[in-house]
Amino acid sequence: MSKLIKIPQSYSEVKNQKRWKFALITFIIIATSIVLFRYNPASSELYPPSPFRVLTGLYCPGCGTLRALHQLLHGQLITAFGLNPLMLISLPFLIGSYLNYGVEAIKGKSLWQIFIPAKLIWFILQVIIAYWVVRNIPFHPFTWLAP
Amino acid sequence: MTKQSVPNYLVQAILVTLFCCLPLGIAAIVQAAQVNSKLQVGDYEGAVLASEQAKKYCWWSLYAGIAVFIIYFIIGLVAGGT
Repeated sequence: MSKLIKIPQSYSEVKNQKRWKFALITFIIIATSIVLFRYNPASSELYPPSPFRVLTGLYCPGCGTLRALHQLLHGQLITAFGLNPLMLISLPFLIGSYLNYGVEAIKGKSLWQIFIPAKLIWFILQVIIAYWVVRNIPFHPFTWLAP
Repeated sequence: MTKQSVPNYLVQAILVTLFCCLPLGIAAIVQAAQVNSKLQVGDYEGAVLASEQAKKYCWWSLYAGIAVFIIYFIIGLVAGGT
């Protein structure tokens, strides 16, 4: 099991690496937000289409994410929710984990350490797959979930 | 070994599922669940292997997303030029 052997790194080295990663992630978030704020994915040709949608003609769990983020940046919470409700629900958790990572990178100690039970991850997966299927049912009330 | 010491890449897996929109993201979530399943039964080596798989799927999903973006960009250039 040579794969399991990791080269030991010093504490400050790991800390520096995390700070750089956090800076990079922050830069990506800010740059993406500026582009998303200025150009509406619903009308701009700047953004690529969803490969799954192009290949199959069906919606996937990620469809509407960019359009929803554009609406969210303009304060249109309800429109954003209509475009991709699952993404909006998961957003607070993603922001939370970003902040946690940032605090850990800067202070060296994370805000919280949560062990997510495997059952919960399986449940999240089931929700995503169910969402994937249900979004594609072409009549009311399921059409509400489509972007 | 504490339970938290093996990363499960769940956040990254959800991000690539949302933004790269590919089944590889789903595979990454499956591996993330495997990491925590194995940690719960004390299978530390299995958890590390699942963690590496999860990381691999996240990266491949991201590469696939970037590849699609580049292909789209090239098609756009070609179509725009004619």
